[in-house]
Amino acid sequence: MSARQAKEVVFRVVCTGGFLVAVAPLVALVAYAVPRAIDGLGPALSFARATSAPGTGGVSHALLGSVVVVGIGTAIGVPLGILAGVFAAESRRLGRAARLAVDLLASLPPVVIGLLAYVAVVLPLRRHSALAGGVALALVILPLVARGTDALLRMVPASLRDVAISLGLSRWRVVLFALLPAVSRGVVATAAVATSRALGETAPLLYTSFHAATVPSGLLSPTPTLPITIWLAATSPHDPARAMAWAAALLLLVLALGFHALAWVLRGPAAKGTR
Amino acid sequence: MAPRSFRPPRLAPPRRRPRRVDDLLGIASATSAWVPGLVVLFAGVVATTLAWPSLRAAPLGVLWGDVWDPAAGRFGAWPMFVGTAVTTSVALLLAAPVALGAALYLAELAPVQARRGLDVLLDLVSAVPSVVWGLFALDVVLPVVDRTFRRMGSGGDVAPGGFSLLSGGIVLAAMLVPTIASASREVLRAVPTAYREAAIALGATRWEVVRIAVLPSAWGGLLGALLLGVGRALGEATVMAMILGARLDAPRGLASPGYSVAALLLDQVGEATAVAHLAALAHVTLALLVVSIGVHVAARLLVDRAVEPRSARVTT
Repeated sequence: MSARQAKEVVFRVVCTGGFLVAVAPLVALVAYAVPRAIDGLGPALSFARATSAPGTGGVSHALLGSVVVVGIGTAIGVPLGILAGVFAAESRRLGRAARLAVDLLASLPPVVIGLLAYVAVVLPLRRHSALAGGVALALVILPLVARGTDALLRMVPASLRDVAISLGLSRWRVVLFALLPAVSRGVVATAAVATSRALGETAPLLYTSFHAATVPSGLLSPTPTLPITIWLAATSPHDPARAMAWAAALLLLVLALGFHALAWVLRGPAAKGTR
Repeated sequence: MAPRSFRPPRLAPPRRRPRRVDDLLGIASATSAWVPGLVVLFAGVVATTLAWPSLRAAPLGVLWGDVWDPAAGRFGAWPMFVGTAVTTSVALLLAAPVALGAALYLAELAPVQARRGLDVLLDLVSAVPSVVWGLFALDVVLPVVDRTFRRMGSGGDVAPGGFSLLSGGIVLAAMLVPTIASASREVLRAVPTAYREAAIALGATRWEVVRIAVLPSAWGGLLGALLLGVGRALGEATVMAMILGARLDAPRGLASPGYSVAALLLDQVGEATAVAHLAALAHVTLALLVVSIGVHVAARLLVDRAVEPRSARVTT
């Protein structure tokens, strides 16, 4: 075998190996999590046992709390993100500045976003709340959606925009009736990815929605979430707590990966043809 | 009443009623576009205000001291900065080659029909929440590291249970690989096909195509992808708080437990009641913010410059 062929083989093996090593942690994680979580999953999902010290009760209240907190985050973050993304893509003078601002927000570490929501929402209201957690997650979601929308809008073929303008549509009508519909699936997919990210965030929630051992009584009370429940139970030395942590982790994993898969389905095979 | 005199029709159209859709969408999007900037500004102002006592005493004092003892009122975050730097470096050393290999595989080698599926597999790795990685690390990675340390018999400063900077670096690496690899993949795919075709026409093998035609025009973007990983690593608090061992003294090597800046914030903000403690934490936050923003913006510039001009060309 010539040296060129040998190099080619090494190249292929190393790169394929790199891909396998990159994916291996996920495979190992799922293989480890599923058997450990199955046992705890039944009791974990009963509301009846959903009151107790961290980790020893169920996690259904945390599941509900996660849905509420992430719901608030999505409800605030996605519309703001889409609008900011539209502005970044469409504004001729300030588009670049808006894009830079979005990148700046995206560069804030999650823990800092949590502290920010703590100062801005928790301290004025004097209580941990689902609302504060939702605001923190909105700040996680916003830059992701804004960036995605911005990028998608700039990928729209110029001909579509030209046709819309030639019909006499005003500038924003072009955006609303021609450009956004063309990228709507992509925008929803981006929002799904951002939601997946928000579901798993722990650091922004510790000082905002914090934790509770029961079903939350309202948007302005401390709210348990899956990540925080796992966080608290993971450090507990008790075996039942560990089993519960894995049950919660599997739920979280299914949700987070599910939203990602949803985004994949939404983007559809059309993406394949672009290159 | 006198008959109305003839008036020529007005050529200009009558004043239209306000274009509600336009006004609404325009105003809403312009307003929303302010939000990210204002939030970042707010972050800076809050951190600076809270850190003011510490900043006034010594602008860099908190960063150099190596004793962090809230009870005694001494605040030096040097050990945490070391911990962040060490875990990030270890993670990058481990993750960068793997990520580059994975990106090259997805961009250059993977069968075209399978690419979309393989792409999403990589993206799914990045979708695993950090707290789940932390739990997995506690159950699986730490015992292995612990056993290895014991077998190697590295005496002295080894934490029981595998809580160490090395464990932190390893787990962080697993989390960084998908981040770096997916950005690298986009950078590589943005290299014009014509470059590859030119090399193939000269009889190049796949490796030679990559070496001659792809990598030379992709280095900037690949560096950007790496920096994206650095930014992610610097800010990762959850996993670091779970597995580094929360040691406040300076770490003594990879096997030693340590701490990181982000983990310190996550652990201590809730218990900071003293003004000096809060000021020190805010001071550290400010430093973390400055570094994170610098790294992230540089990364974005590099990656965007590598990806964008060509994708724009495709669409026109």
